Amino acid sequence: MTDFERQLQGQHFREFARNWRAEILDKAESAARAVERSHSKAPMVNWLWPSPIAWGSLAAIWMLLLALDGAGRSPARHPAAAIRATQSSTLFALQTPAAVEGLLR
Amino acid sequence: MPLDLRHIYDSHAQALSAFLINVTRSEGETHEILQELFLKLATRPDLLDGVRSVRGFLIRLAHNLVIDAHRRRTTRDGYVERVDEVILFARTSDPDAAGFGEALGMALSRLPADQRAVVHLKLWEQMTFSEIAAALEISANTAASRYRYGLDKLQALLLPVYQEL
Repeated sequence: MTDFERQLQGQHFREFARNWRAEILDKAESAARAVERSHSKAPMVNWLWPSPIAWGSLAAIWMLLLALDGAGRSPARHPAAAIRATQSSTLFALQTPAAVEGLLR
Repeated sequence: MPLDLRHIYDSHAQALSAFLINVTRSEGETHEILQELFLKLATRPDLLDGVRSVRGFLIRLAHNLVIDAHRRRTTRDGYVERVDEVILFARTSDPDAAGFGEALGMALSRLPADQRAVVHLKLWEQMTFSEIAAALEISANTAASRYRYGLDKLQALLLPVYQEL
């Protein structure tokens, strides 16, 4: 470091921040309190806060899986489809001995 | 855990305001940006999680806020180079030091803002070029060359005053 640089460093800046301390901290602390209040009013959000994207994605995947599962099962649960399924299996059961007899002849 | 904003203010606000006044050359803008910075810390206390150098981080945040404010102003008012008449340095009873301080304030105002920022951090924050590079998001080589250009210009501008002392 040269003498010139030391000479520059010897100049001290005015203390601007001291006069603004109360005003800036009052506003900042009331903003902090408002944020804390909003977190305490929404504990679920607060609980999810560390990784909202991860939790949201997990929830979306579950919803998708449930939807796919529901779509796969729905025709069988429909009464008409259930009856059709029963009828065709019954016919098959009834037709089978006749077919066997035909083969034996 | 809530941040101890008072402690942060008492430890860093003077340094931040000195940096901001030197870069913006406006007392009003310095006040606004310091307020904005503390509001940011108050509402996002996680910003300081895992930060190694709080001073370096706060200077980086302050510098980004200066850039944002400059962009907003440029968009709103067109490009206006604002260099207000501000008294940067503390009063002193020594007339030589007072005269040098005044001349230095004027000379600093004639540097481009990016050189002024580097000169400030090097001289008054005693940061290394790699710390300055991290704070201003530039390379260490750029920081070093901006410092060299800035210092040479200050030396040329202040030579008559400096030789008198």
